[in-house]
Order: sequence, then structure tokens, then C-alpha cells
Amino acid sequence: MSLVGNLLQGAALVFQPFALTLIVTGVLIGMTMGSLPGMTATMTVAVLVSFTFGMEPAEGMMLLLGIYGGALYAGSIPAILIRTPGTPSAAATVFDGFPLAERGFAGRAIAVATVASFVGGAVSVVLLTLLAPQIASVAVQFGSAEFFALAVFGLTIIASVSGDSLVKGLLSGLLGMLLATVGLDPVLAYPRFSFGFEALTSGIQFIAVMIGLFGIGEGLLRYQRGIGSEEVSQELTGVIPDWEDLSEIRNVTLGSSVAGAFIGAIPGAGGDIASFVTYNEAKRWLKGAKSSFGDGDIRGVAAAESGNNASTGGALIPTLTLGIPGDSVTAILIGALMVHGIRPGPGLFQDEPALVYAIFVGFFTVYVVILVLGLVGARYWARLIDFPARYLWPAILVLSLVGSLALRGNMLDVWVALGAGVLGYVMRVEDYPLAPMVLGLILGPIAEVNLRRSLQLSGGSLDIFYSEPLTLGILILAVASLVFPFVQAWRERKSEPA
Amino acid sequence: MSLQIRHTDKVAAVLLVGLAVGVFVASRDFPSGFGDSPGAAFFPRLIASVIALLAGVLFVRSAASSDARSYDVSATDAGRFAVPVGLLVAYVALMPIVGFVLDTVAFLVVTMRYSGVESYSRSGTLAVALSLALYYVFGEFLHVPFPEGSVVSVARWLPSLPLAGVV
Amino acid sequence: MVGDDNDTRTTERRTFLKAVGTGSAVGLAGMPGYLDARQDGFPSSDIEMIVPWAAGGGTDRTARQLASLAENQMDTSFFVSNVTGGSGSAGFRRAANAEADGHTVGVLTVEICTISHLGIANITPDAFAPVMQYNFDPASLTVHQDAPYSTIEEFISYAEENPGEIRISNSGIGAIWHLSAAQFAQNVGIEVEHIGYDGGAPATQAVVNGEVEATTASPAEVAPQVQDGPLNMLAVFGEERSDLFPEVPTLRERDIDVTIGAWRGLGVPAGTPNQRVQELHDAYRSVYESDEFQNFMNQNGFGLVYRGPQEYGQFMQSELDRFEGIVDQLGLGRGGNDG
Repeated sequence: MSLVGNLLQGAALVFQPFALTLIVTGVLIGMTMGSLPGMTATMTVAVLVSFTFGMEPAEGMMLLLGIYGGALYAGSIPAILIRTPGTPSAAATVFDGFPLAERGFAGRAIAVATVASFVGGAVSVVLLTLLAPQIASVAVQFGSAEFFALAVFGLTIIASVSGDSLVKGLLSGLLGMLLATVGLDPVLAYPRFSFGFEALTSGIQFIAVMIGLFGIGEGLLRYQRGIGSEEVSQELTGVIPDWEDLSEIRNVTLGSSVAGAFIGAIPGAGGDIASFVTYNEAKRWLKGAKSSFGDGDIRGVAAAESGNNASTGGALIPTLTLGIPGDSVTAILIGALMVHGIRPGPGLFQDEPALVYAIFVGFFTVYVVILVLGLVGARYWARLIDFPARYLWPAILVLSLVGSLALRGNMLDVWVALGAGVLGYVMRVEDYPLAPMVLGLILGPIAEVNLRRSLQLSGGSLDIFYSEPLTLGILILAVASLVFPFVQAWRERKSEPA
Repeated sequence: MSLQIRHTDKVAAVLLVGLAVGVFVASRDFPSGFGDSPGAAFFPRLIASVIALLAGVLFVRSAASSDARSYDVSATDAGRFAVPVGLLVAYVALMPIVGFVLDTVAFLVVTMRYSGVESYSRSGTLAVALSLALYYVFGEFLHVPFPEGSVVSVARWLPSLPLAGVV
Repeated sequence: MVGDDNDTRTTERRTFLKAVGTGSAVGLAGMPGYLDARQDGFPSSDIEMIVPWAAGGGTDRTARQLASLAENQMDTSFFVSNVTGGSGSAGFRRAANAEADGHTVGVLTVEICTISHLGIANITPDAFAPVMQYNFDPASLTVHQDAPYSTIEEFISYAEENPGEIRISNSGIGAIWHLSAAQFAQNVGIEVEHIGYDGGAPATQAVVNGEVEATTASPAEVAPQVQDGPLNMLAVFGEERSDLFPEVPTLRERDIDVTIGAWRGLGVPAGTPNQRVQELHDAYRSVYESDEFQNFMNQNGFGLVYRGPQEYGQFMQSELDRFEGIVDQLGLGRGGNDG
């Protein structure tokens, strides 16, 4: 079917009263949570995913995508107003957003952030719509060896996105892979590490782990650090952008949008990395930016905000076409679809075209809703920052546990979530990044089953991995991406004066 | 009273090596594969080996660096971690005994008090409202089998949703 | 991995509202025929149907269809809950441990006869009083059209001449299509390699890509690739030919004594009074015979086979014995295997 035909089919699912209500609800929830410091998009999606179990898959996606986009956008509001990013993705927004607010231009900064978020999201969804079907039609030809190579590549990227703590990032990823080996062996149907628990033969419930890591873990961290609320003193005026500002940010927004989408498409690299990269690149390339960035340049806000929202559409590219999550939120989306018995991957475009295109159309709609609600309602959202966290955190903890129970009605999953919460807390305190663990949980089993299946197909011979140029190429790329950060770290250390 | 926790990286490294050894022990009875293909224990053991290797790196690096991580954990700090965890554990453990609704109301009231909500009438109202909302959305609507209290069951007295006839 | 519920889904709307909310009109309409049957106060509350597989899969969809139509037969609401995990064992166990009063009906799939042998969970049909079987989907053997064999006989002789060269994909190790292929190979005495995939779609794709030589799956699952794609179906493993592929012979027609496939039925906890089993059976049987149900099953490619309580019980017992042999021969589950 043609692209237009497919899009119409998807639109038919989206432009329904219930689905549209879910989109608006999702955006409202996302913007609310994103406005509250400490409430991340991942946490909100993880805590609320259980509400979608009773819905149609496409409807559930509308709610979750609304939250995803809304939270990433609204993280900019507290970043600008109180210098505290609502989500980690808005960290780069602080650099220029807060100085603008100090000078009394908070409304202008938020207006720019809103438009840039919309453009970033919209551009990335268009790229997603154009690229994903092409990638899927190639990927559907992939055999077991190619998928093994892809999974290994995704895992080695962990090293590149782990930032300062390379070893800890790798350990986090490996722990995720190890957790995922619990349950039936994919080749011999032997229950591994189930220790007599029948519920464990189908494995650790991935969503329960996510809820624990991001919902309960974050809650424990907040309680540890004290859950006081912050005060916002500034009254917002003029959140409608003027033409001068718009033409000033036009180029940087478009450029950052495209760049952000491609960075988002890298497994494990989410909005936080995307916005830092686009901000730094904009600073490097734009005229006069070296001195004005950091002092309240609206182009800085635009670069960061278009970058982080563009990462969302980008992250969906590997998620939908290969089943490899682009970031933590899309990892939960994979889990949410799997609850419905749908497995993202190249086959999805053949088996569920309506769902795939509904995701494209729906996500674009999400960004339109964000633009409208952002411009109309930013001044009200700003007041949410004061919302007393002492009411919210107990409710989030309850929702986290209820959500794990709702997975399949088993108390064991609740304990798993609780355990993952404590683990997530310890990892955060000890500077272990969480994103690699999520990648490990999803990619570990893909790597294992395809490795073992390949060897079974080849009768135990390893040449199945280097006889095909594509497989070999991906594997070489994987090795390179694993080694590169080590080399870089070593060179930096060497160049530093002792 | 305060407690100093030092060398957390070294402690973590030792724990991770222990985990790796545990994987090897627990997987000793796993079946081998068909023909020459690797068996069920191959992949977990591969991961465990790399974990042990990296844990070694962590240990050596931490031993070599002078600024070993250390925390001063005061009784207050410890409490700020232990109380929420304790509340959560109690909440989950008590659910099969007192039932979902009562357990959730109690957890919310206590946790809100701990979080700084002074007024019991306010936290109580919110707790009851949220618990009932969740009970109906998940229990009645999505048919999540919430544990019913083995000792006291509030759920038995709650009316079913008057949905029949609406749709 | 075992017993993935792989039927192709449609995007038919499946609201939870429906499962909860209907049944209302039933009371008003009044089913006088059932007034007598309700002498013992059954049903006195909603009837829960426990589906051991995820929402949206074939088992779930057929069960929801049964539930929504059964409401016209009994003066109560039916609702479906999905209790997944452990290759179906979580749902089977939840149903088996429910109160034996007829208000909890388990949807029993072929896995109830395999998972105990696979060492996944020690639950068998003995935990249930059988109510009714409503579906059977035979396995089928499908190959690439460019392969050097185009009939089942040629396939077998090719496999005999090239032992170990034929690789047959399936939707998951230990799942019914794997066991089906194994029984076929065992029966005709050929040596093949079984390759497990993560669901039916990738298993079929593996034949299209040439990664394996053949696949076993239900005819409906491979139908798109056989009708419009490069695949060729050699045989179905059912009693009769498939409606989807009337030109494809059964194994029995070729004197191969193999009938195997996936099936679905209903059971209540063992110890449920016979009277209630009978009432449930009568209600479900009326649903089974209704045009609406038959049309639904046909349109979605689910095979219709009916067995009453006694027959279904005997059938499950024989399946339980049969799969013990196949699983042992494959060396799956509990023990190791070196070749």
C-alpha cells in the first residue's frame, strides 16, 4: 500500500473520540509531570503503562506517546523558571533559559521552548514516517546472524553512551542481560534460575523492572534527599512568540531537529544526550554564539529543546523497525506492546501496518496538541512547580506497585518491582547509569537466541558470522564502538598534563 | 550516631564477583545444547565472566585511586532510606492479609504523614479516594486480581460498578 | 517461548467495556428455557473465563467471542481475564485453584498436555473437569517453492537421502508446532534439525529468506505467504483437508499416520458439580452452534472441532500420553541432551 494509504489507515485509528481524548490526556499528564522537578518521562510512562493493558494497542500507544512528548517538552518549564530541569533532557535548556528568566524574559523563553519542541517533535516524526518503512523492508530480510550482530552492536553502544563511568555502564548493561536470562531457555525450553518459582519460568517481567528502576528507585532517591517543594516567584506574561524571535531561531531549530532525531535513533541515546549535543553544536556553528550562549540567548533554548524533542521520533525508528529501543521510554513502549502479544521488529510493518501508521499520525498529533496547550497554558503549568511533592510521591509509589500487579496478577512481580526499586536507588547513588540496564534487558535475549540459533543453523560453525558482508560489517562496527570510548579516554588521559 | 561507609566500589566489586560465582554454581545442571551448539548455561556464564572481569577492573581502579568513595551516613540519612523501604515492604507484605483497599489507605496515610502532610483529614480523604479509584479501575474494570484480605476484607462490602446496562 | 499464541491478529476492536458491561440486556430479554436450570442458584454471580495467553492472541480472541455470546445463553455476565506466564501454567493454575462452583472457567489449550512433560509446571488436565473442546488447528508443513521437492513424498525421500540437512523452523522450542514437526519426522523416520523462533511470523519468514528449509504452523498462519508469496504447502496434519487449502493433501491420505495440531477448549476446576458442568456445556454448545460463532471462527481461520465433556476428557488424556513420548524423544525440559 502507498504511504498515503497507510497514513489514512493509521489516521482512521487516531481520529476517533477515544483515541484523541487519550492523546490530550497523555499530553496533559506528561506536561504536568514534566513540570514537576524529578518526575521524568520514563518514570511517568512506567508508572502509568498499566492503564493501557485494557485498551486496544493503538489506543494505549496514544496515551503513552502523549505522556512521552508532553513530559519531554514540559521539562523545560522548571528549567527556565527555577533552574531545575523537570527531566534530565531539559538540563541543557537551563544554560540559556534561566538567564533569560532572570532578566524577566521567562515568558519569551518558554514560548521559544514550546515552538522549538513542536518543530523538533514534528520534524522527527516526519523523518520517522519516511525512514522507518524503508528500514523495516530491508530488515525483514535479516536472518538470525544479522540480528545477532545488530543486538551486539546495540549492546556495545552502551559503552559510548555511558559517559564518565564506562565500566559502570557496561556492568549495568551486563546485569540487565543477566536478569533477562531468568526463565525458559530459548532453545532448550529449560527453566533457568527459576528456583522453583513457577512464575519465574516465563522470566522476570521486564516492565516490573522498569517500574521499579524508574518509579520506585526515583522515589527512594527523592525521600533520601528530602522532598521539599520549590517556590516560583515570577509571574509569566507573553507566552506567545513574536515573529522576530521566530525568524531568529528558525535555522537553529530546524538543524537541531534533524540532528536530534538521528541522535535519538542511536540505541540508548535519549533526549538528554541529544539536547547536549545539539546545544554544543549550535554553540560551535552559530554566529556570535560562543559569547552569547549561556547568557540568555534564545537560540540556545531553541537548540536544546528542539534537540530533545526530536530525539523522541528518532528513538522510535530502531524501536519499531528492529525491536531495539532508542531510549528508556521506547523500551517501555516495547514492553507495553508485548503485553498485547505484539513484538516490535521488521515484521510489525507487515503484520500491523494500521498500528504502526497510527503511531506515526498519533505522535504528530501529540506535538500539535503540545504546541496549542503549551502556548495557551504555559502560565498555568508554571504554577504546578510549587505542587507539593508530599502528596504526589506516596501516590506514585502505590501506582508503581499496582502497575506491576496489573501485569499478570502475580504478587511476585510486585516484589520484583520493589527489588528493582532498591537496586535502582543503589545504582543511582553509586553512579551506575540505568539506560544500559534497560538495553541489556531487551537486547540480551535477542543476542542470545540469535547467536544460538545461528550456530544451530550452521551446525556449530562460526563462519555464519563472517561469510555475509552485512553481518561482518555490523560486527566490526560493534567492536569499533566498544573500543572507541576506551581509546578516547586513554588519549585524553595522556594529553592531560600530569 | 553516624556510620562511615567506605570503599563502596570495592564492596560492589566483591558483590559482583560473588554474583558471577553464583551464576556458575546455579547453572551447573543446565542442559547442554543440540550437537555443537552452546547449551543453556553458555550465555549466562559468558555474561557472568565479563561481569567478574569488569568487577576486577573496578576493584583495581578503586584501590589505585586515592579518593576512594566514602559516605558519612548519619542515623537520619539511614532512616530516610530505611523508612520508605520499610513502608513499601510492609505494604506489599500486608496486602494478602488485610486486602488491597485497606492496605492502600493505610500506606498512603502513613506515607503522606511521613512526607510531611500534617492534616490527617486531608491525607485520609485523599488516601480513601485514590484507593477506591484504583480498586475500581484495576480491580473491577481491568479485572486485576487484587489480593482480598484473608483477615478483613473491605472489598466484599464495596458495591460493584453499576456498569451493566450502561453499555 | 513455548506455546506462543501466534495467530495473526486483526485490529478488530476488543474493548474491555464490552466484557464488563454487556449481559445487561440478557436479564431483560429473559431466557425462559434456563429458568429451570437455575434451580440450584447457578449462576449466582459473573462468570470469569481465564485465558492463559496475552490479550489479542488467538486464544484470547476466541475466548472473548465465546464470552460475549454466552451471555445470551445464561442469565449472567461473562468476563475474560488474561493470566499469562509460564507457558500458560499461570492461567491454568489460577483456573484450577478457583472455587469449584462453575463461576470460573479455564480456557485450556494444548499446552495443558505438554508443560508437565517439559518440566515447566506440574499441572495436567487432571486438575480440571472438562467442559467442551471448540477448536482444532492442524499443523501443516510448508516449504519454499524453489526447493527441489514439491510433494510430501519427494520431501521425505530428499530428507532420507540428505540426513540432517533439512531444518524445520517453528514458533518456539517445545511449542506445539515444534512437537508436531518432531512427531512427523519420528513417524516417517527422517532426521531433521528443529530451529526455534520467537513466534510464528519469524519462523515463516525464515523459510522465505532461505534460512531454513521448512516450517510447521497452522495453515492460517502461513496462508499469506503461500497464497501470495514464495511458499508451498506440502501437507496438513489434520483428519481432513484444510478449508483454506483444499488442494493440499493430509498426511493420512499419504498413509502417514500422524494427526497433530493445536486445540482449545474449556474446563472448570476438578470437583465442580456435574450439574453445573452440564449447564455450562449446554450454554457454550449453543454458542458453538450459533451462526455468529461459526462465522467468526471461519473468517479468522480458526478450525472448528467440537467434543463434549467426556470425549474431551478422553482426548486430553490421550494427548497427555502422546506428548510425553515426543518430549522424551526430543530430550527437552528436565534433562540434558547431547545430540
